[in-house]
Amino acid sequence: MKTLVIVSHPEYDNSMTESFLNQCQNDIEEVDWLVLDHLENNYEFDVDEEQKRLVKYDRILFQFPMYWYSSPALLKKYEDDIFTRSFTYANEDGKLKDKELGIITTLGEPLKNYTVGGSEGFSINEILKPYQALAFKAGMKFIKPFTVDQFAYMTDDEKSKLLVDYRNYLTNEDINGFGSKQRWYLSQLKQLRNNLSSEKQAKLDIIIDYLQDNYDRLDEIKWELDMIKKEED
Amino acid sequence: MEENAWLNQEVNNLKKGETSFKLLSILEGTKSLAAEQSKRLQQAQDELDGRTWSPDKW
Repeated sequence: MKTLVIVSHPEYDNSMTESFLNQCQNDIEEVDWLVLDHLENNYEFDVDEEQKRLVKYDRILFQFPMYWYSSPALLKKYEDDIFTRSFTYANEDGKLKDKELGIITTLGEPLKNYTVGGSEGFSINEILKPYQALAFKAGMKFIKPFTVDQFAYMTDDEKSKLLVDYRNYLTNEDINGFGSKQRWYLSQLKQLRNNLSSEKQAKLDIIIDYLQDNYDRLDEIKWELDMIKKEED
Repeated sequence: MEENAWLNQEVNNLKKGETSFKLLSILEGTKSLAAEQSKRLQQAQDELDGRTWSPDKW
């Protein structure tokens, strides 16, 4: 699965959050990272080139800091220029059909404020509706958004968890299921194994075997439960 | 969670001397993954027992 992260951030070069997120993924071959603020030329994009770029990916992610409940203007300009009617409409050329669209947004306020009755008054899901509508029109699957709130206040433990969750969001083919999460995690551990000494590799192998065994047992019990439920129907 | 104490200890040992934040983070995440597996295994086993011994089947 190929993923494209399209970043829009007017202060990209000075952003600690963007720098961190970039480093979270810069070793992953299947993920490409595009910074619109470095790409634009006099606020213009090469439409043909960008459309050719987009069709190469299975998962397209817009990543931006939330500016007045939307993206920075440059991402909107990119959308307006590149997502032309025929290219986008699922019932016309529909070049984006069946791909995934996801949003990664960074918030200065705590995520808990984004709710009815909270100080922001609206949920992230409500605020991101225009992107969901775009995905709908393009025949794309809109995946659940990924939010990073108050990065500047995060502890090292929270950043550590963010790194794992972010990589999962970029590269796990099914970000909703726990089964898929386990398979994804096992593949991550197997990849990092090569960076360890042979003594540590042997220790990690025991952990991998244990996690795999748990995965198999869970799968087996789930199968048994499904059989019982079918009989009870 | 207690049954994963050995795993948590092993992960801590693996992290010793490593400096890559990426590697350390993925190793650390193993603890919460194993904890979630244990919780779900317990829940699934309990559900299986409950359904197997349902009074409806007596």
